[in-house]
Amino acid sequence: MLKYIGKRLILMLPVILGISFILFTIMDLTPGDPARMILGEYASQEEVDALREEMGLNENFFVRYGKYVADAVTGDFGTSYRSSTPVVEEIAARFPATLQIALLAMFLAVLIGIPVGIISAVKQYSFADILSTVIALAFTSIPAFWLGLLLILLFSVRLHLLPAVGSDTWKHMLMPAVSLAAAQMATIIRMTRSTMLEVIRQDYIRTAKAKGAPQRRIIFHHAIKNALLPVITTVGLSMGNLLGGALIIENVFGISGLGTLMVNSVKSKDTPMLIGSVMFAAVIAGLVNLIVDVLYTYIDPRIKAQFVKKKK
Amino acid sequence: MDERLLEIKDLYVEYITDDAQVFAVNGIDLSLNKGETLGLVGETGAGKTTTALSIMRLLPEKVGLIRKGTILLDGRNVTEATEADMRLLRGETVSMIFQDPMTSLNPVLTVGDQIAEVLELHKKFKTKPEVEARVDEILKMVGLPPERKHDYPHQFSGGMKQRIVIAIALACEPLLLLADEPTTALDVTIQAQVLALMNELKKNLNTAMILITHDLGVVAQTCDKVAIMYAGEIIETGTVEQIFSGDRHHPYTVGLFQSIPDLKKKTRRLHPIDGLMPDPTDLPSGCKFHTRCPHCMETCKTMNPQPYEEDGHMIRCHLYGQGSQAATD
Repeated sequence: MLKYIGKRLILMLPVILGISFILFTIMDLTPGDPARMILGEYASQEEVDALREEMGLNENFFVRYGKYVADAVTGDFGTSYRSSTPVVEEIAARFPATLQIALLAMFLAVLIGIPVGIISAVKQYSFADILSTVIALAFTSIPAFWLGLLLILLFSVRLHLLPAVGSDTWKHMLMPAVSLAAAQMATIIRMTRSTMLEVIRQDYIRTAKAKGAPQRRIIFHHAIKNALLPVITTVGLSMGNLLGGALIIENVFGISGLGTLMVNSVKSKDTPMLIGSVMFAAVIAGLVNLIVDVLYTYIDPRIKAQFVKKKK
Repeated sequence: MDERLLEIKDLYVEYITDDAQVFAVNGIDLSLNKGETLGLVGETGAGKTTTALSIMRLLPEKVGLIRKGTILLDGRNVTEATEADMRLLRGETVSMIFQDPMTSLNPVLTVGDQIAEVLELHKKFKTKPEVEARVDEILKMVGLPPERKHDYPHQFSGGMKQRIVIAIALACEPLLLLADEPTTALDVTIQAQVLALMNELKKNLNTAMILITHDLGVVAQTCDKVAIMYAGEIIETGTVEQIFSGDRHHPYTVGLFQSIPDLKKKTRRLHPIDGLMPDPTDLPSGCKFHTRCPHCMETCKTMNPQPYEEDGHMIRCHLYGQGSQAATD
């Protein structure tokens, strides 16, 4: 198992390298001079040229990329052009807010999505099933930012229950997390419903019924483990979406998280900051997917058999 | 030995879907004594599995419906029992071996757990070690090493999986075992083994069995009685001797036997029964077999034949009993 995890971690390296290279190229090809941005509109051309020289911007593209990678390997991801703080520090300061929202959103989506999906499948075509289908459809169709704005209107402006902006307390997290969770929850509901419907028609469920097992036991003991496999994959993949979706939601709710950091870095052509934060998000998404795959083995013995030698 | 275990009277089962109403079982009568084995023979779609599922009351929910009739199992009427009553019967009084062992076991639970479950559900033992001991015993009984109970279904071959399915079915020593083509999904060498195993266990536990099959060879080897089904009706029943020998048979039975290739005779072609089973959503009037019957008469097209009985050998055909004079010319 450890060997497998190690292998997966090593496989993440080329992905990260690829991401950094693509971002580096894009930032280099787009117009705009970082030195000019730092010094401002009124600086003289000489000053800008001097700064370009100092920052090493005049060197060949590959030399600059090589230097960046060489530094990154030692753990130095450069300093922000804009704020001159080290990239790592900035990310460390911004990430917790994003992570909190993403995790809370994930938690809500799973906690509500899976049970609703199961009920929907077990009571197929019932009122509850139709209701959940309608809600799921609505939640996938509503854009997160719009839902966010509606929530602000209702809970902050009208009811004065929750603060509209900021990320200081759990109260601040609630609305962003709900806006972010809605679409994920809808996916999880639909996914759980369809896999559950498939599983409860399987022969082994009939075998369980033939043993005299009651409905509750059939659902929770026999069906759920089989039905949740694809759902877990979806949840893992959605972590990437949640981190990406945070980008918009953070803007709506005025939270200074990783999302706003990325947007601002693009705006101000802050190359090291952008690459650093995107790479960080990519690593997180990769790790979550790895955790999902490891989780798989605990649920499905057939998958475990593929990379674990028998302990006998 | 002569105690009546199962009595099916005038059973009608339908499947109702959005597009059609399928008449799967149309008025069958069937009885079985304790310890007896009945072979239920017929083509695919004749209603054999539906009959078995009706006894278990495991017809597909919302779609399958017992329209009419009674099923008395060990004195209890299954058709009127509540779901809770049925749960008590299933696994303990009656259990079923399904056709495909590959899909009949839950892939994420160990086989030991799956066998233990039926024991725990019916509270056969008080403590966990007792249950485990019984699981070991059953596994040994079906010829598998007990230490393999910690393995998952994917680690077994098809024949071994069917042994496990049999182990689950027999764990509580049921009075009646419904075996739905237990050997169809297995290759021939394993088929013989599994049949021999079922025969032996049945004898030891004195379990009655309904063996559903389309393999007449299997029936001859294992059964006491035979019922031949066609288009949801039982068209001939009798003891194995009555069906396999004797000269009075339903034309369909004759056709079935003729379609078995004889190794001793030199024939160029096989002898199938011409035509196909009638569409169960649109059954023909009169005798259901008249469209394919070589002896079809005018009455066959309009009147469903009454059963004709002779020493417990029942045939549903206009050739016998009333109107048989016309047929002998």
